[in-house]
Amino acid sequence: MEIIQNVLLGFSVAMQPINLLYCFIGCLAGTLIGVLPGIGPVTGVAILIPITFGMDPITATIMLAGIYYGAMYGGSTTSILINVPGESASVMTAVDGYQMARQGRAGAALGMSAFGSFIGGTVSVIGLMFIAPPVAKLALSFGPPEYFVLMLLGLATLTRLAGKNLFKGLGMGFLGMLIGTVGLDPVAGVQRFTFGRADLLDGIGFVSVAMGLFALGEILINLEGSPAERVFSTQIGSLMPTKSDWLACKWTIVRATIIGFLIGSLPGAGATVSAFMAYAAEKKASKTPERFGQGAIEGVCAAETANNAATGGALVPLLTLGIPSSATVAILMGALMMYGLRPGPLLLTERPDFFWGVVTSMYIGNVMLLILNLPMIGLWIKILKVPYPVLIPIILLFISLGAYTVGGSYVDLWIMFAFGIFGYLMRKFDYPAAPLLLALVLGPIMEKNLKLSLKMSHGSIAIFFQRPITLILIALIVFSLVWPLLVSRFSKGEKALELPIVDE
Amino acid sequence: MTERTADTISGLFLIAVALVAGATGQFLPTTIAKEFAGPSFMPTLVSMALGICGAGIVFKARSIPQTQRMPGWSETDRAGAIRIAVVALAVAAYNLLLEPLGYLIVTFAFLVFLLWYLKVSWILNLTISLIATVSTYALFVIWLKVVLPMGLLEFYF
Repeated sequence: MEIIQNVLLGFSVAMQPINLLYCFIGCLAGTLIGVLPGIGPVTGVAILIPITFGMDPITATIMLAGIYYGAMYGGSTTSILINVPGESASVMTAVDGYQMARQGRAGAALGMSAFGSFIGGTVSVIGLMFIAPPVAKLALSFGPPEYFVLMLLGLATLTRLAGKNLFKGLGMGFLGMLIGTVGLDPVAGVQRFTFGRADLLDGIGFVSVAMGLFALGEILINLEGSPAERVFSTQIGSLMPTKSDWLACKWTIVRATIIGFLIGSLPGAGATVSAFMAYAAEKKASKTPERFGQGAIEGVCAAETANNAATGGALVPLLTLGIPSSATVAILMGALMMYGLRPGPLLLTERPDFFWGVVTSMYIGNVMLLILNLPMIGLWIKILKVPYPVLIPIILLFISLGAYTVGGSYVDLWIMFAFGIFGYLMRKFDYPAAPLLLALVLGPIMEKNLKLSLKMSHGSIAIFFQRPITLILIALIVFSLVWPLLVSRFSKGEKALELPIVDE
Repeated sequence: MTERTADTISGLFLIAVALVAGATGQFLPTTIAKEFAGPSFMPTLVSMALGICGAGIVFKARSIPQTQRMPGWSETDRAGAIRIAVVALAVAAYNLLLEPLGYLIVTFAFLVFLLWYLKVSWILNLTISLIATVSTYALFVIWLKVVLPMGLLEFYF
């Protein structure tokens, strides 16, 4: 009964005209961001944070969440039509989606993507509603040692999954943590690495870093090739999948939704890994795995259903534990803190209107996205035809404005610029950017929890090995670091799928 | 560039950052008010870990075949490198001139320059530049009440 009351409370908040409007704006902007190559969900959420200033935190979060899950819907369009994933979570969609488009079945691929996304997204919201309250209750018993190790788990998972070279992923994580130490020490209040500058006392702004690493860095790398118009000449065909398509995909949707939600809710995993795992599982479950990569609709359906199911899952650790599972969710968490909210177990009890309002808005958002993505597909194709040279200056203007507005100083413009150059070099030298950003956001919180833990234990690190939950989490950290090594050792001869560089 | 060289350079860079940060961190107080992990604790710990990762990258690079090229590195594409440099310099110039010249002038000039450089037709160029400048001004300054520098046009506002 309690859950029904909570859902009704949520709908009473989400259905307010202003929240409906911003939910729609978020979904629209998210789809646009997903459609446009070179601008991913991290940049999208970061760019639009300034627009939310002065808004009610619920309205603002509804919009930012809409951008996040909207980008997952939109990302499939470019993957299928021009084989250019709009963001990393759609990389697996392109594998079969583009082949389907070449066979004249782009419409069916787009249609199945939209329906799969809708089902995955909606079911994941239901999962979030049922799982979040008990997790939050459990998290109330967590102390600083549990939080510290949990964050370490998130970072370890992401750094392990973010790139081929473990040292590169870990190195970027530690670099992010190091950058996170700039500013005032979180406990003693001593200035660190500020070089006497007052505008660095609050630390290096994560929004400027995100815009530099993910937006400017991406634009610079795209400028290497000729920024000519992308050629699109595929016939779309009917958007409604056929009966046989539905029959082929019915169990795919079920499997991908479960995988997407579960993987998405793990700290550090996110939508890209979910899509990747669901695709791999589908290929394994198929009686005709050789069709995968040649235009199998189950491949498109698995990837798209899973990456949307992951968005609901990703909000579980954020809203119940205060731990972001990916770079985009880290930005979302930063935004919540800017609004004066404290993501974590108390959010559910202190601000039920916020929690349930945002969660139920995701139902509404998923319906909006289905409408935006199917009947309006023509509009997105037109946007795809906007030449990249026109988009570059406008994106650059928005990231400069965003960095200046959020940070409120010229230093933030230069931070964005410096990290843009650094982001470009990271791509050239094959380093993942997501661990750096996640570590930058988590670093100061981890440091605080580490110091509090050591205070509790009078300086002994044994505290991390004496509590049952921390022990389980430490085992998971070791497992997450060692497991991929074991898999690669024992799967010699079988060509493994290659995980794309995570940019969400 | 070969993958081995690229990884060696980037690994050494991380080691250098770790050394500088670790050394600078030593000037911070080690403990304050009997705190077990003072202000220097985290920077020192993380610098050490970063240095180890850098060393790991350099060490691992030695096992990469010397002939293996770095994907995405095209030594002949000078045009691409010039495009990147010009766009990066335009962003730097925007940052530099925003305060003295003001948002409206610098934004319009920035857009016109980049659209011209990226070979967008003049009519489209001027239309986009004008609309983008005015609409972002309306959005940020009028609607969101963000204070943007007006520079030379300060007297007018």
